[in-house]
Amino acid sequence: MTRIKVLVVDDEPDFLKLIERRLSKRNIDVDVATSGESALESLRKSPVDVVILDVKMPGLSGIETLKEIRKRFGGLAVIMLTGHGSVKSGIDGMSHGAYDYILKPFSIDDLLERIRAASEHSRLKKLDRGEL
Amino acid sequence: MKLLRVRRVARLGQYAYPASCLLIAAVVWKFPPFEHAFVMAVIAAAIVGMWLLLRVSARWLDEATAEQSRLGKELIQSQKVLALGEISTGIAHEINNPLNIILREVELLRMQLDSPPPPEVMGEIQGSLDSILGQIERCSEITHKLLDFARHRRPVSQFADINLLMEDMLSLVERESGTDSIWIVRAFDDLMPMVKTDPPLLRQVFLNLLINAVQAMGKSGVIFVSTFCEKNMVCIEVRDTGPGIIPEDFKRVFNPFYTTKPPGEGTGLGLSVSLRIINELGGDIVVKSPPGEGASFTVRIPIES
Repeated sequence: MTRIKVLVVDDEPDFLKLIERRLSKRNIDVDVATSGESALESLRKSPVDVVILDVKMPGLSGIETLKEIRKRFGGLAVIMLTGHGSVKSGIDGMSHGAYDYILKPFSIDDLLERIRAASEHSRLKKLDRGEL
Repeated sequence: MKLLRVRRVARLGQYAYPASCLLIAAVVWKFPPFEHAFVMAVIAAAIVGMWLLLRVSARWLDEATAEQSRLGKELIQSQKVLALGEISTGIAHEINNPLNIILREVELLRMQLDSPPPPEVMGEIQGSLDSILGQIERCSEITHKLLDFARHRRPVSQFADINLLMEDMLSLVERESGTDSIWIVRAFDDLMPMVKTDPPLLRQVFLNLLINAVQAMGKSGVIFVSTFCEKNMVCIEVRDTGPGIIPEDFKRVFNPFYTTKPPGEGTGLGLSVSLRIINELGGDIVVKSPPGEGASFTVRIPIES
């Protein structure tokens, strides 16, 4: 079983630091990005299994980033991070083909469960396309 | 017509055949064949006549079935043309509305920019540009959704807990719509098996159905969501207490661009995309709308896709 690699995109560095530490403890490799633009750049350089994407960001919004990711990296699974004020964007995200969403604040176990399912889906998609 | 004649011949034949056999046997018994050549000739002629009739009716039958299949094809073709007409009208409407707004704003801008605009008009100009941008985004949303609709999804199968998937989508909708006015009643079957299906596609369908239910009811109402098992299918029913679907609309609810919502609020693609997804997962969607009881949509998907 290879390790799962995720990219976490959020405009709050503190949140990124926290989640990176907690996910690494659970044997997950973590890349981070603080904006939609840098997320796309990072994905181009080093592919991941799952993207965890905050819907509310300055610059390229979460939904725009999601659309770009879906366009450029097809089967890559995206989990939307939704806050109480951004439920509408969460709904938009789901209808634009996000794999799942998780509402802040969340338990790390819940997130982990969703990451596992999403990465399995990503892998199955790649298998289906003959990329693995 | 020919089919009718063939049917008559066949019906007659089933009585005439045993009767003629008996008759021939009786005649042969009464008049030994070698002594009565004339009787033999009559019998032979009758047999040949009957055979000819059968041949002819067999040919009629062939022609009739060919005609029927041609008519069937024509019918399908005309239904396709009808649906295409409706889709084209839908697209034209959807795109025309924003185009009209853009046109109006551009005319206004042109007027305002005839002479160098005074500073107080700059705000209005800014507003016009924003409005144009908004409408362009609306158009690109439509084309995006159209492309999405046309895209062939290749579902991949993962084990999924249907109740959990539904609960996730319910909590999104619940938060969005506000819990005061819209009640959601859950009746989940606790013994639902894990289903092999494509979770994100299914989430999308559930969300579509829930959003439709909320929008159908307007200010207040109740949404009943139940899950249950039926043979080798799992069923998820979303029922609302809205105005329901009028009988004339029944056949069209799944047509792309068919919508009952005011312009700009729905593209009329939600249900058609949902049906496509569910079909690709090997299932179907059953619609019911008993008069005065709101509308009910039941998604049925195979446990093992």
